[in-house]
Amino acid sequence: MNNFQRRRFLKLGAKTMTGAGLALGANPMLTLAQSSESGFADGEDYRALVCVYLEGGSDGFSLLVPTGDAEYNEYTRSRQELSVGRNTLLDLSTLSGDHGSLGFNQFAEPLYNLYQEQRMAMVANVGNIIVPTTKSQYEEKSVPLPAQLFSHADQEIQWQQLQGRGRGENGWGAIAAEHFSNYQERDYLTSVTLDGANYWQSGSGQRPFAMKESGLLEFAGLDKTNEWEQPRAEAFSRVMQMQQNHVFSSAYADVQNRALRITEELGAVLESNVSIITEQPDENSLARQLGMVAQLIAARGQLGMRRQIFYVRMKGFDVHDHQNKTQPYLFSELADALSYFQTTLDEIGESDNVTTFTASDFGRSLTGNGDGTDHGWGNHLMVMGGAVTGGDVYGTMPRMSVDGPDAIQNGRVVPTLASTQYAATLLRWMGLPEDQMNDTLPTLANFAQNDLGFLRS
Amino acid sequence: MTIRIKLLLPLVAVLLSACGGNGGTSQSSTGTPAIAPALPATEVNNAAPDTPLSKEEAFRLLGQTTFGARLNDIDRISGSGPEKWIDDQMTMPATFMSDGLRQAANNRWNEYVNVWWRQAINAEDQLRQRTAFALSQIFVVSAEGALGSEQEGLANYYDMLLRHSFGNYRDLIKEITLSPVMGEYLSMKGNHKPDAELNLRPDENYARELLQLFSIGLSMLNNDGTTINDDSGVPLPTYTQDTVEAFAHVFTGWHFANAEHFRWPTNKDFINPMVVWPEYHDTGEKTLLNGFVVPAGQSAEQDLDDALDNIANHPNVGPFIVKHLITKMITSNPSPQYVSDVVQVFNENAQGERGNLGSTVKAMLMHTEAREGHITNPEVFGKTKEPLMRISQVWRAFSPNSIHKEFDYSWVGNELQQAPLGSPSVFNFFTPDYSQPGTIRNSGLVSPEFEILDESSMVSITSRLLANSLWSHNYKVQNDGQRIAINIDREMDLESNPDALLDHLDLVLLGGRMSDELRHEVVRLMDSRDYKNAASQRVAEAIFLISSSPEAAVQR
Repeated sequence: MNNFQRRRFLKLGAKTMTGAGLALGANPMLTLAQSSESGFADGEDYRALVCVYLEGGSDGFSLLVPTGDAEYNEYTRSRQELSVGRNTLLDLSTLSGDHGSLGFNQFAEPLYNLYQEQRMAMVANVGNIIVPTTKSQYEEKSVPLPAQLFSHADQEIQWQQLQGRGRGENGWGAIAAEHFSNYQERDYLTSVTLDGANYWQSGSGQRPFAMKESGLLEFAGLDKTNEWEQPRAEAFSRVMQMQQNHVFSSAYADVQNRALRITEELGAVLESNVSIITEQPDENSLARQLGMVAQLIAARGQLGMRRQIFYVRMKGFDVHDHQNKTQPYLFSELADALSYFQTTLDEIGESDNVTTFTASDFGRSLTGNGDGTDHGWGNHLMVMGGAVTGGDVYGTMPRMSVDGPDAIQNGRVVPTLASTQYAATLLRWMGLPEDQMNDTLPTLANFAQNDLGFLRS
Repeated sequence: MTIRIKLLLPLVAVLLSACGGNGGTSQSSTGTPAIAPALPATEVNNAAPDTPLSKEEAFRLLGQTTFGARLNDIDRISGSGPEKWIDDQMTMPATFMSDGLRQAANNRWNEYVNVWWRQAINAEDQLRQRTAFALSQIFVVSAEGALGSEQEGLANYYDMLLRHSFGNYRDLIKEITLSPVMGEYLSMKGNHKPDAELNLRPDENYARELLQLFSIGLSMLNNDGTTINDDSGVPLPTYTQDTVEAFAHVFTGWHFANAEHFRWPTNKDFINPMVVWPEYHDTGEKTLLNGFVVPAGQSAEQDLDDALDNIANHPNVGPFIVKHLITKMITSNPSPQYVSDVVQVFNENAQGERGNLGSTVKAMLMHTEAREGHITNPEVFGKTKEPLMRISQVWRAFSPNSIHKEFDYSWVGNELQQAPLGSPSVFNFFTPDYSQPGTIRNSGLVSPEFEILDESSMVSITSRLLANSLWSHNYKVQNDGQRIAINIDREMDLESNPDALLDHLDLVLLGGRMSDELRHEVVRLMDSRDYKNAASQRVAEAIFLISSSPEAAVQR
């Protein structure tokens, strides 16, 4: 007896709440997964990852700055007019390790506050590397290196796939989602994107469900409950289900069908939800996207979701130009959006269940070009959430000298933590079984530490 | 105050485009319309015979060379071979956006988008318009960002692409490199030579994207477009970080034509080419592609020309550009033979010229794969139509007698994820190698346009197609000037004869290839509207159902 059967949802004018949604067919893997040994604590828990992708290469080196005399001087000798003023930095203390004294960019103060509450952690000098890599190994080319190290497209793809040196077939999110989708009836809602197609969530036969930050769109003029529109709406549906004789029209019909069915189902659930009252920052695209994510998370119980991965994106970090002018806005928009999101999670009681992490193509170069920086390598990133063991910096702060021991090619810092280690920490918390970890992240075994320790289990 | 000497660029451009190149060399928007010479017939290997086109074949050719087939064009070009259409189109005077913008009846800040729509729908030089549109997705600049309020500059940039659509690649990249719009977009303007004291090195942005996106790409290519790989199967890179830095040093010392300082000037000229400030140009030696060394001590202009020659002569340019053009106009998954045949023409056309885009475009269209690919590879040949083309196709097929001066669809980008000169980044709306997970990816095919076709954008496209037909045709009582009312007179004449109407819609929307099942559904829907005075409803719904179908979503 399948205890996940749902009543077929009937649209009766006013949207009803209970048992919402059409069953798109019982998930055949579902009962199988329930009965086998799962990596989850019990049958009802929920966890979600939210990837906040910072497009263009975020300048983590302006977010987290060493403030000890010698370190700060070294930093300003490199960054010159692009340096963040020492007296503007917010003092950051750390629980572990000796990172020296550190400061946090004032324009990201809401994130600093979360750090102080121990719900945000910094992960220092992380980036795409295949094996542990030093400056001399880079210069001698004596270890495998990621292909096309300073190309946006390639580094973004590598961050989102983590399948090796070059382009792979599958994103690490998609591989994990394929596993997680076995635990919920609505497997098609395992991956959701607020920014359209992305490499992280695609592959392994998975494709994320795409939503707009403004909410679910409705088809104009195709309302089956409207007497006038009904014949047209039904004709349209039938056309979408016709067999196609071209690979592109077939794929087109697939997407159209999913849109028709999921829109109807999800629309009812979202409309029936109580609105989130936390005030959303104005004119902040990232906040709008995250607001939509929060609404979906709020509905996770009704939708029967156990594990989900969400993708949102913020643009504008490729500051070759106008860095001093632009960066304050970038950081404050980012910080406002992330802290708003965390507050909404508090409001709906999902704080401990959702971990948000930032990722970006690369960090930026230590040297400038007059009014901006160029593509770098190692970067400082952030993880946020109730399950994060925050108030600390994980990893090692690099030397900020252009020709120093940690920088290559005129001021690109060699990462001391690998993006794959970062991903492994997140996936382990999500409950990906150990025996799948190395298949999902093929270069993880190259590193001694397969968990960076910033998440409670 | 030093007098800025304006470069004699027009003269240089004429000298470079030796063999009958285009006549449009003036930099301002009122330049002489560009033309291209008539080209010899069988310039490409494996050309299709230039035999008279059937109506269905005419539709196909129009699908590749226009923003949507029109019945009168189908009638006109069927009965002749494809070459006549191509030649006619290439010798037609160009329609420029700057002119349209000047004549616009209102001063919306983004009226250039509406100007673009008017040209897409009505301009006679459709092949040039379609080619320039493809070029605008390769040599990307965008209103997203600092250029948002510079519509004259953006229109002028687009006009430059129009002027060079059938011209020479080397001329094109020179104009692009010195374009102030590109200078702003990829931050080449104000690029400063190295300064050790200030710990300042040249901005690498333009250098990198010129190589990666506008000329040779990241990976070494064979002439058939396939990559040359190392032993572990990873493609061999075309250049290193050092090369990028070298080019970055070449592109130093240029700024807006009217800049009053080199560092953060207030004056910004987005029309005229950038000019040199020699004191900010790095005169060191630079090692470029394939070990080519630019000697020390040269002027900025000389360095730039040497660098562009170095790029334009790289063997990758042919396959890189040809594959782009083919995938944007003909088919997403061309055979290596097709690419190779067209690359041969790019590399050297019948007059011995390298990089002639006119010869290349014609070769691309005359090749047997373009003319017959739908027969030899019916399940795969072709490309998914991009959102703007789905809309333009219906507006052209049922085009109104005139477009109202208040017409406004400038907000298309918000709705359809695509807008002219509105790419979210320099990587265009979709990348050339995006592959939809599922059958397409499992078959090793690419489907670039699917990158922006997801559940949410598809709802918008379908809704827009519905609104543009059902709610906006010339038999509706209320039509405001802001929307285009499609003209369905011809279809209303046929309405009493459903078979004739369906045959007609089949030809003009699907090139005569409508499936029986779709036809059946259209007839069924029309039959359900059996009340009096429902003729226009029947016609409009038929148009909607056909144009929104998966069959209509693919150009083949």
